[in-house]
Amino acid sequence: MIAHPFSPRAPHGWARPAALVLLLLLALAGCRDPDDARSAQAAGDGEGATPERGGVAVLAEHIDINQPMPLVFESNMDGDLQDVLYMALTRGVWRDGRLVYLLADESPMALAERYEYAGPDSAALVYHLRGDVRWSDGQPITAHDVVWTYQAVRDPRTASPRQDYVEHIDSVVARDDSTVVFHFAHRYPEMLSHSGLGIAPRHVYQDADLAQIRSHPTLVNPDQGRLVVSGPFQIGRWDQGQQMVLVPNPHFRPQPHLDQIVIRVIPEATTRLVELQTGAVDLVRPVPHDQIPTLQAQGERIRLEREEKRQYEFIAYNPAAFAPFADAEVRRALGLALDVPGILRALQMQDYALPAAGPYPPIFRDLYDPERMRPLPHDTARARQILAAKGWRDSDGDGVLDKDGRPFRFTLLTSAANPRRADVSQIAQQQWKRLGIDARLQQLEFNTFFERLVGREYQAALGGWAVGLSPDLTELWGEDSPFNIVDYRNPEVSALFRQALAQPTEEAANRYWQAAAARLVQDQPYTWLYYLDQVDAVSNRLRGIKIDTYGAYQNTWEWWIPEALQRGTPTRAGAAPADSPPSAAASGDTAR
Amino acid sequence: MLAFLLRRLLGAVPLLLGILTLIFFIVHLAPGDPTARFYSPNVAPEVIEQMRRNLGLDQPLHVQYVKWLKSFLTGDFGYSFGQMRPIGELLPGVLWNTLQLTLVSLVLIFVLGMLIGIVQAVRQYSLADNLLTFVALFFYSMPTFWLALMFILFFSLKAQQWGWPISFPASGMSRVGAEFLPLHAQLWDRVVHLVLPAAALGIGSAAGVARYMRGSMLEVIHQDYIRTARAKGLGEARVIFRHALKNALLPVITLLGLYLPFLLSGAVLVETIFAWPGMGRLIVDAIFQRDYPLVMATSFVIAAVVVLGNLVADVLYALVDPRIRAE
Amino acid sequence: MRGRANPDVAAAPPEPLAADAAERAAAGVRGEGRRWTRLTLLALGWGLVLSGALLSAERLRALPGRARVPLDVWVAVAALALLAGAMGWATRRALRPRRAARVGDSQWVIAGRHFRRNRLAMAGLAVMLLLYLVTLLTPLLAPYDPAAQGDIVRSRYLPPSLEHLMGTDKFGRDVFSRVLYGARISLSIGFVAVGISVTLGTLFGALAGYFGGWVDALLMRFTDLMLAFPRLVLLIVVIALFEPSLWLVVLVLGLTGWMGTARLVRGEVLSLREREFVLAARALGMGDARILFRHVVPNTLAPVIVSATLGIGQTILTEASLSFLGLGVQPPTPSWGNMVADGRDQLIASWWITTFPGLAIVFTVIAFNLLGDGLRDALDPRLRT
Repeated sequence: MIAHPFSPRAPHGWARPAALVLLLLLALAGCRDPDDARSAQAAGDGEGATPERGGVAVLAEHIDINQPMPLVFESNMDGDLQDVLYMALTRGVWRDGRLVYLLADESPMALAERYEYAGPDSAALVYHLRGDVRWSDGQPITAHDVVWTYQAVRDPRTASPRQDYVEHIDSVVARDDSTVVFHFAHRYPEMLSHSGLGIAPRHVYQDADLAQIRSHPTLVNPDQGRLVVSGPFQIGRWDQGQQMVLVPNPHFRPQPHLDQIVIRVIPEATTRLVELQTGAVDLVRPVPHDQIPTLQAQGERIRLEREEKRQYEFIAYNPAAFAPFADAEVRRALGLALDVPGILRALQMQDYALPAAGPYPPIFRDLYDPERMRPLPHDTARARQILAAKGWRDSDGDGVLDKDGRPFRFTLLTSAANPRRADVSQIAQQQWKRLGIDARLQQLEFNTFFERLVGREYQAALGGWAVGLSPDLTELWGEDSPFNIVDYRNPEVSALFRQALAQPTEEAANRYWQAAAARLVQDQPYTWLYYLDQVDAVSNRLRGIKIDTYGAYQNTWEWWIPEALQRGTPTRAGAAPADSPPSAAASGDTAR
Repeated sequence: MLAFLLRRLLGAVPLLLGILTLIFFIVHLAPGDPTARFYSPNVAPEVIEQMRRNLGLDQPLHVQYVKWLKSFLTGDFGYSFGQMRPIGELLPGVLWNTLQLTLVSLVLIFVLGMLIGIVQAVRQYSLADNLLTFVALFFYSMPTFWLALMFILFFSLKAQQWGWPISFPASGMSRVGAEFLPLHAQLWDRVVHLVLPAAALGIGSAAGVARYMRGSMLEVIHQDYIRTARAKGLGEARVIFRHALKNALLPVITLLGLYLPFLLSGAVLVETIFAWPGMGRLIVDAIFQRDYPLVMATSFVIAAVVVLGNLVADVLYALVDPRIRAE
Repeated sequence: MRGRANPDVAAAPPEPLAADAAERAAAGVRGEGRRWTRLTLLALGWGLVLSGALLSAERLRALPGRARVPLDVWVAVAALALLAGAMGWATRRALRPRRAARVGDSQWVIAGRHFRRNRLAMAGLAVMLLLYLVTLLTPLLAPYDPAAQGDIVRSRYLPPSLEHLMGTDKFGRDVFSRVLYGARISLSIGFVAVGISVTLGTLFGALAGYFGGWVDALLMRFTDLMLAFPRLVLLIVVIALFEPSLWLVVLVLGLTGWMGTARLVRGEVLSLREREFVLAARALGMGDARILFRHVVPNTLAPVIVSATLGIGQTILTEASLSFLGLGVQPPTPSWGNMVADGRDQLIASWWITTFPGLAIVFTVIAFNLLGDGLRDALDPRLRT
């Protein structure tokens, strides 16, 4: 027999390359993070410790930033970034259940030192601006920027989504460089809110064609500080689809503690959480509720924060597409058949969600009324009674209720993009099935889903709304609003709306809003399911971050990382940061 | 030869035009509207109309088609609705990102696949052959995204939690701050970030190549001239590698041609899972956002690369095999 | 070369009894082993039939009295009866002596003999048949309703146990039942989609190859056009833009998978076109259509069958990828693809939700691939030793 390398007696034929591969893999060994030991110690530092300079915070988001400019931003991500990049006349914060507008003495993001009401009916607001604020390119921020911003929003060529800000504004005039006057059509509670839009720099955009403003060079290539901002950070580098690096704005006071904030785009939820757990990322928002136990098991390294009750989820019934939905009692029966607390327990959301009674979540101290507006109880017997009384029986023994030969069968739409809603729709389907109601599920891709909602081309839909911080219900329930997706018309409620909008003060208006809400809940055009906390997971490395109902990016200039936990991420070419910890591997990088 | 080349080139032009038209009409005739993402309770219908005008969507379909075709053929790929930047600026970077991943993956696929195939062919029906078939088939038959997620969980998360000496990054092309590192460190960083995604992408397909290679080698090994070579007393290694392999490679090279579409878009799921900013992810995001110009431009680029690649392959074949030229 | 007898040519003169005896003598110990294998398989098969009958009796008894027995239960019972019949036939055949190879055996008989010797391919065939059976017998085999959620809080995320062989998912649904019902959906998608592709591909390829000229040029350009599109992207574009539904998924999968078959068939038809039997048929005055579909196409079927088998596996994997993006089969209908995609955030904590359907996909696709490979080896004379 010819002995050759592939005979069984000489196995090294394949063994050698295999060994090479193994060696190669070992050579790719990353060092263990030398910070792990230190972080266990450093986690002992509580809040209230002195902020230390330096460090890079890494945040993970699921979509990329798009157009971070006050006039044109659309997505929630861009909206969050406004808080970081642009100052406004006043700064809104959520305190004790209501929105409070801070001035320059309480917030470095506010342009105005003081304001007063003026004019007949006090329908004008006069703001006095600080004199010492500058844009990131050094130009002073003046009242003319404010005027230009509001003019641009009103200009139809811009097609700005911020129309609600300018709906009631007659004009905005600059008395001088540091005084600006808003003339409103009448006095109403939202005046402060509507004059609180982020301000854009006039000197950058005044010569631009407003119809093409979305393709302005500063928006297409905002990095290297080309996008002129007023907030604590500016855009240093933007790798589209990958990451955005925010660097401190040298003209903002107080100067941020951090060297950089990096926002990384990681579309897949599992990957985001893995990166959080390996320490590569410091903030993940939101965290799906069923991942919370896993994260809690991480103990010291990760803490969970809530953005309270800023959204609610509901089932909308469209009577135009399915006649039985026209009867409020039938809608009520469908709501009674659902066991919302059970759903919350099933999805492990019970700590982060509250069964909903109506359009106002508990965050609204003045409007939330648990006495008058209660969530529907889970009462299958009563639901059955109601349906039977309306003539729905199972006459053909197929398990589905019917009346006049037509079965109680409809399609429930949800958005495929949201696994939680998909889950809830499946549970709801089962719970209704026990009653003899046959709901077919259909998941649509988000755009299509939203279009069907707005076009009222659906029978029932399970959706969610983010709760605006103003009590105005007309967006969703006004007779002509495009977002009145169930085509709800009730003259009594519309009258209450009109009265609420006509009131000059918040307190007066709130009475009418509450009354309208109570009537709405009686009519049950939706089954309100639950109010939801958004849960964010933060690594204990990142200190000073304030997360509440208002959001997570409110006070980026106060974020800090203890020096012992700063990872020595290079922030300048060549220069090794002075505070980098000694690393175990020769290359100085951690393969993580 | 020249005539053949010209004929093929001319044949490619209507093909490309056909592709352009097909893409345009599929995307525009489907329900769904790019301005839908601008809907929000605060936006008045007039504003949406203005947006449509700004984006040129208010014109009839055939007018849009002609306008688009004209600009496309002059090299202007238009503006992405979603990112509001010229697509011509956007594409090269994304293309390069994907190519890094898929080229490395392709190398893995073919090298690994060929090695396994050769071993299997030489040891036909032995234990090694059956075992390798099974293992290869196992990975070939796994959904790629499952494999990718398992890799992340084991080689990134668990590796760190359980204190293994090797642990890889779970996402991204490079670490934070990589742009400030010296060149060799950046290169190393990129390699480290490539390991998991390229492996997830490549292992399954390597199995496919292995089976193909096995079949092809088997065909060649049983030929007379191999028996002659052996009878001549040549060493087995020389027989395999110098004589059999060369001839067995030809069909495998055809296979390489079939992987052309893979080069640009085969990594959709892996790119999403590993947050790799490549073409596949770009297309999927563009589709979900109804970003028509971007969908059309990217589909066209992929299709054009495939068509041209096939052309090149045909030309190479014609050079090698005179029978085809005569057709 | 390895001491295997060449089965294509009989070793003995064509004297039936002598050949038979010679073969049996030559087989010797190997023949004994073969008999024991056959007996074991028969025993297993009968065991399956009997246990199937027991289970179905149990299940039928458990159904609520008033409810009508659903159609698929009747189908399952019919399938069980058929299985019993098939077992009977197999038993009878096993008791008859095996026929030795003869010179005049048709291509299919020879191929069948090769195929039977290929153990891996036989394993693939066995798995495929088992899957078929499972699909038909599902209503009798599945212990729970795949959509029944039960008391979610108490029954979610239960690890595999005696009550729930494969555990439960996040809604408390039994994973084993869902895997069984998912088999129906995934396999049906595979078969129907591949059916569509193969039909279309054979049609186009045959027309192109037979008629040549501008028909060929047009069809082949169209094929090139479709091939230039990456399949997954085309799928996503169409399904995302129109709304995902089971039929749309199947249809689009079918409409995008025919190109390989078309090319294959065209090649075969091109070479068959000039053969004598075609010229003879034409001389006899047969019309083109008749020649094409009754004489030429049946001879091209061998590679088509191979590619169809491989295509089924590929389709199941593609459906899984679509489910990952939310574009596959819609819940609560289980398909293996969407079960794997749904369980992906609990990959380690509740590993059974993804792993069992994932393994089901893996083994099914392996089986189809082995089957396809075996068919290819058996049908292509060049690949036999």
